[in-house]
Amino acid sequence: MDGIHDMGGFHGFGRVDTTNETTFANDAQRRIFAINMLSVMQGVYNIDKTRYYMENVDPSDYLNTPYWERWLGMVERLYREAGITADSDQSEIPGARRIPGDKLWDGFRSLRIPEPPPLPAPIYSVGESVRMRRDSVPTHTRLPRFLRGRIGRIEDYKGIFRFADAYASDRPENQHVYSVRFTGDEIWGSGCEENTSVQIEIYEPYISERVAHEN
Amino acid sequence: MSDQNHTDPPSDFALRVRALETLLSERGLVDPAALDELIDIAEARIGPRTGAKIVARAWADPDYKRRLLENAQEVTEELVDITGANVIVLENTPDVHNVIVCTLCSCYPFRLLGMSPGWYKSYAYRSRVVREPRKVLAEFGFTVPTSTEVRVWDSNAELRYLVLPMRPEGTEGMAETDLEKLVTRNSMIGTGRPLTPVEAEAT
Repeated sequence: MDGIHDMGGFHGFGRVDTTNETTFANDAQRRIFAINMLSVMQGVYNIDKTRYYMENVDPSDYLNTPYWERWLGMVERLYREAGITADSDQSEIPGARRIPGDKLWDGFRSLRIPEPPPLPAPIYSVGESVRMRRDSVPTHTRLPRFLRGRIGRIEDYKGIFRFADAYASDRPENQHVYSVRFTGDEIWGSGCEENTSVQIEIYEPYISERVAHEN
Repeated sequence: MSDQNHTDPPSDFALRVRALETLLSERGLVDPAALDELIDIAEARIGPRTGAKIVARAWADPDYKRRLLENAQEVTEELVDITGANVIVLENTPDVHNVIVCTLCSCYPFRLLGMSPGWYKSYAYRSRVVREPRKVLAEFGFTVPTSTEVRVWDSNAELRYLVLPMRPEGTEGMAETDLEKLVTRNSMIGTGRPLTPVEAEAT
């Protein structure tokens, strides 16, 4: 979706406050961090869905709501949609499990990304130049707006991963992922800084076409 | 204002968080002890010292470095009590300086660096570092020569990145445990460089 969260390249946010080291300012922030992470670990909802719900808000609310408060709004909506509300007496969420406190650390520390099921061979190869698709989708996507229609070079093939766009809408689907590098000039034109680039993971469906020669 | 200030009534935010936690624990959906455990993990068990150990070993041991760059998931656990999971290590060289960001949300290699600092999640950092990385690095007091490419990695999907900074000069023969002390968190994000031995001595 073309949301306010997709802010790569926006002007106007000013200097970075490099002294802002705050992770949590109070206990409520700690608790909402933990409630959300535990809910993902327990399979109540997936992480792509959390991102979709976080960005799918009024743009002015996004900008004016503190970081952890945006998380709270997202978690409240996700549980409400799962039927867990003060007015209902529902206490089951299909597919979710409960992780007791004493089992948590071992699961956390030993996490491995499972090997995904195989797919047909990737379409593109390392070294090729490719153009990103131009169309925008109304739902969650991980192709930032500043790269739409841009041409980059495939630097690496990363393997098969869960396709965020699909999982955010509860559709299990996997895709090939490439690591694609875009020069500053290709993205930003004559205003770019000298000798800079952006490299990013690109799911195969984000690529519209192979481009014959380097830009 | 913080909730620790007991003279203030709890904020609306704090009340909502409490209501949510109460609801979920009354329905048996979350174990409050698991929440306490996650907060303890976030604040006490993960952090940049984990990443620093990995960087120091990579500086000291070329074979470890080679394996780390190839497959961080399998290698990190040799040194630290936690898997890198989905982490890719990016090596800085005289030709390329790597910087990480998440323009779309706030993805961060938290298993190896701990929770991200406020500035990493700020709109200014997320919007600007892809467009004017050299200016942003200058705000961190850090200049990269224009002969070195600044490559900004936007962590938009399942992978997380950890920068392997260049080993500082004048550290030949230093023990790994001393090298570790030179590795700053920002040097593993790409918004800083490691300390020199003299600077480390002074801190």
